[in-house]
Amino acid sequence: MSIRRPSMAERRSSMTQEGSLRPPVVPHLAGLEKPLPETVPEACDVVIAGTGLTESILAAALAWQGSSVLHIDANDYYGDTTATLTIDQLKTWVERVNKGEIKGYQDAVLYIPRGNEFKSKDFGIDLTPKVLFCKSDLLSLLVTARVYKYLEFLPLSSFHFFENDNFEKMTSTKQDIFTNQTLSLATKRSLMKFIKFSLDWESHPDVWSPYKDASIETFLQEQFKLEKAQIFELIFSIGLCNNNETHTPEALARIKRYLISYDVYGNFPVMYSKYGGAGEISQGFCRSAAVAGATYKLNTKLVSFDPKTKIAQLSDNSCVKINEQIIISPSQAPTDSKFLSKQNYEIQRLTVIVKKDCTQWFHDNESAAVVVFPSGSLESNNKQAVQAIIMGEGSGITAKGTCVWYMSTIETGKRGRDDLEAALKAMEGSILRESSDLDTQDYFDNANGMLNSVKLGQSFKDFVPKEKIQYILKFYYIQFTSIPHAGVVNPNLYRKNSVHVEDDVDAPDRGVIYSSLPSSEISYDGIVTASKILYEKVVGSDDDFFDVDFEDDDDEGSIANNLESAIAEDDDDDEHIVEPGAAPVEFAEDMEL
Amino acid sequence: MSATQQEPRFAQFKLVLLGESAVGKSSIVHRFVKDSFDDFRESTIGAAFLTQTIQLDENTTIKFEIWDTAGQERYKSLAPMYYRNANAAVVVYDITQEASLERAKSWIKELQRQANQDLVIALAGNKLDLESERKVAKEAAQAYATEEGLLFFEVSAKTGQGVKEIFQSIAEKLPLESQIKSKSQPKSVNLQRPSTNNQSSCCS
Amino acid sequence: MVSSIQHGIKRFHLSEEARRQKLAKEEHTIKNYRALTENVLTLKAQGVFNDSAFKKTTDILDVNPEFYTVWNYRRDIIVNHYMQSLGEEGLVDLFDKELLYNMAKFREFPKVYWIWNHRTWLLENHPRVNWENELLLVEKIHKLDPRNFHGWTYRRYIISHMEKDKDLTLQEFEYTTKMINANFSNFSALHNRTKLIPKLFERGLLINTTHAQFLTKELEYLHNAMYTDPDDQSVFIYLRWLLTSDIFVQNIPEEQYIEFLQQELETVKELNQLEKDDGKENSWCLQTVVTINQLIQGQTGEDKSEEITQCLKLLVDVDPLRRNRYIDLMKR
Repeated sequence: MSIRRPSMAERRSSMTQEGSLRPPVVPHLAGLEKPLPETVPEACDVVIAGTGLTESILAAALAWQGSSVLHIDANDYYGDTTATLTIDQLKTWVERVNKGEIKGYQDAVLYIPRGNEFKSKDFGIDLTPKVLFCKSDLLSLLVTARVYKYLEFLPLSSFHFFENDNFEKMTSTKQDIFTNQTLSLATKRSLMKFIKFSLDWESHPDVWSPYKDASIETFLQEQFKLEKAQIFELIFSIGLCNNNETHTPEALARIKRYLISYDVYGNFPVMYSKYGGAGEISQGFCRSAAVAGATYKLNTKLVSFDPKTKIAQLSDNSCVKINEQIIISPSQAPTDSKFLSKQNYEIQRLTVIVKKDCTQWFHDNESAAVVVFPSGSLESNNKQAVQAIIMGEGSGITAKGTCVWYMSTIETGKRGRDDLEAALKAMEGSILRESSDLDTQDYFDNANGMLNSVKLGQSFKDFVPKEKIQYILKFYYIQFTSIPHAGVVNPNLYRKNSVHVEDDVDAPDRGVIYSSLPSSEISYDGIVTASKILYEKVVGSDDDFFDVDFEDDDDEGSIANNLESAIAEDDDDDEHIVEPGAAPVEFAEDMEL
Repeated sequence: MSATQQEPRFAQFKLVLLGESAVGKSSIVHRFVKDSFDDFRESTIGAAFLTQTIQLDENTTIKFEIWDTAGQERYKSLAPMYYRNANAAVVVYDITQEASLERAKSWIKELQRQANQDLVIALAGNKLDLESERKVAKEAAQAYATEEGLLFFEVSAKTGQGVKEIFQSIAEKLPLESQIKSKSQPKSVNLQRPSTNNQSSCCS
Repeated sequence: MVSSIQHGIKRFHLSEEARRQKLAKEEHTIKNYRALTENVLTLKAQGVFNDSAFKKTTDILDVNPEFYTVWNYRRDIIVNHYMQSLGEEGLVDLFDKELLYNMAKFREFPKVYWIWNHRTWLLENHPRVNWENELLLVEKIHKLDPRNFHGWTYRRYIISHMEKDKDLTLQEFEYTTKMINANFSNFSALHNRTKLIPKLFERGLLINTTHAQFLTKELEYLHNAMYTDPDDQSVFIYLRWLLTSDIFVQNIPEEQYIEFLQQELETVKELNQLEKDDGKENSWCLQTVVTINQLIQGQTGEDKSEEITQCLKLLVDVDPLRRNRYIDLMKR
């Protein structure tokens, strides 16, 4: 990489102060004192198209670094590929996907029984449902950037594991292992020993490196003598791996991710943001970017970019001169774009809303759960796991007495859809049944991409759920991405398109950098990395990525520190010291050899 | 019993600001947050929003989280997050600009559509210091506010006249008890406070 | 502008102006606190007991709850002022509010002894204590911190008061089980258990359970903990208590007791073998093998010195920190 690009602030020499690389990035009365620019700036440093989570984090990072950012989105809502949508917005989305207007998605089918008593706004459906590990890069960033202040996070401790047609409770903590009545003493010991090992597995290559290219299943069998039930639980529930062939180091990293996240904020490994997952978090970072001076324009699309003049043409007939880079989400690629990278990986998603509260799956005082269907656990004899996030009314995304089931798999083609349907059937089976009437219904399908209210054709009937449970919505789609499943985000994914290709002089996307579509991860892993890589493409280095130090409302802490010295002087009085009673140490000493 | 402490009450409210850009909504908050009145505690300036704490009475402290639009309203790009769970709104117009009151009215409609039912809305006519250039009659704005059930003030961010009263009146009108009670419900996780009790962790 | 490296993260500090403001604010707070302290200590020396002095103690304790002189003065004011001037209802009100204040302090500073000390004093002098309430409170505290030692001591204190009406030993025993299930690495809970078990027998609370049957169950329970985490010392310490406490030694027939010892010896050795197979002998297992052998030797006169010496030799390597101790033991 070349030299780091100086920030806007540095380029304005009057603002640079001595002895510092750059001036403080926290504007006094941020967002208040500065008069707002009258129109979209005719020139800016960076244009970002698409308000998905990766792009929103990027926008905020660049804005706080001092770049002038114009952030646009073709939609009339925030979030793009990671949006949280109302039912009405979802209908439009499905229509547009099936017309080929949103790149990266296909085969969207939406089924909504007629006449349910709910309003469109009662629901917020995530296009990319995710949970947040309590120890993860995004979590740290939310705190550093103070974006968490815009959001509410709720705990999720309930991880279920589907086996032998049953939902098993997980045994992943010392407490679970100790009190579990079914495990043998030897298994208890092996399991605990593995858990301890995995917390620091990187420092013990002697244990795992012989299994570097072997599957995690083999490793756990041979090295830790664990039994299949425990192995599957570790691989699929704790590790959230897609299959039992996942290589040992990758799987160990994923298992560790869960274990170190446990008890950071309480007895749960993950959280989720209320009122919608990635969609809410995107909005939070966009607001943060706006506070730092970024300009926002929804309903605005990139028409074309000329890498020679560096002028971008927008759909509202305005033009912008871009000093640095233009970054576009593949979902917002201009019409007739030629440089979109291959989206080789497929994710199939099935989301249903049922008229059941499903509280039996949640822990007390919680409103969400993760359910995992390991390889081979479903009627469809699935090769890949199906992962499901369940969210009840407390999550703020669904109406009272209803529940959202988000299911996904990396299995492709018809098999993928069969697996998702089998998982749905299994979940349905474990919930009490209720029936709905099958009159006229709304549905969308790929053939005409339009809303229909007719009697159902045979092919569609198979898609319509059997009347075992009352559905409010059933929604299926295929999403593609350039990010490998369970893989590491690779900087090469985000190369700038050549500006010298003579054949494509008319391509509207010459010289733009494409970001990526969401990965198949049901956690937020990889997103901050992607934003950092893109940041580096603009700034030259990621050294100062969110290098901000907001010394806001916690001054109380520092006062307390300074008070300490004052207090220390007080504690020298004439008072008697009262015996604090029998110390536990006595009990311990008693036991010495 | 004057001798003992009543349990101190503390409540936090989200307040959003709306209005056309040149009406001075920012300077009103600026004035409120920066002026140090005796009974007002120090304000803090955050990266997320402004906060200002006021002492309603001996035992009651109210903290406002003041959300500025941060310019996102300019191209009709205010996120739903902005309105979500707002307890109060200050909608500002300029008494020297007739059109700004119309704009304020449309913001109020938007608030009534998007935000909480029990939102406390204050309509504030700014630039009282420019009385000679007044274009909006006080009576007209007052009548509209009364009809819509809004608090109404004319203020000057420049001199500070009336600014403190807006926030004081909002604080008095807010549903203090329900806010304090709701705190006892299952709470969301505070990301800045990792649990200090790591003892029951998976393998300690 | 100063930038410094802290935890590997660059920090850019506030502007000069902002920092000055902040410092001034802090200075102001500190100055206030100092003046207040001086004032209160003077009032105390002068024996002033009134409302205004009482409020001032609150202001100080809000900042510094470890200032026990001020807690003492606060009690003096209650005794010399309020207890003289208020009727019973007034006092109940005063004490209830004081308990609330005390709990608020505890939430902020759970480890400060003076807060607990003040609470016990309040309960001793409260005209009508609601002990049930106190017990619920202590459970809440344990939810926050299951190992808070003040919490356990305080619990025993409450129970001793409540037991004036009915026996709570069984209920308390179950409570320790609950806490140990949540996390067996809890010295305080195990310690409480050792205090409760003898009471269970003395008070005849265990129907149809002999000492031997009880011990069998307790050992089984413990094995789960030992195998789950063979590195947890609290478990082995508790095991030693079970095998040596009078309540079992004196109430189980000698032959049967020796059998218990032999069985435990086998179990611990098996566990150590598993540990050894994985690469390292376990120091807690080895120490326990030594202990049990000594006990058997004491009971039967059988010479166990060979196995004991062998274990001690291993311990010298496994647990080098206590090397000298083991060498010393070998000499005996």
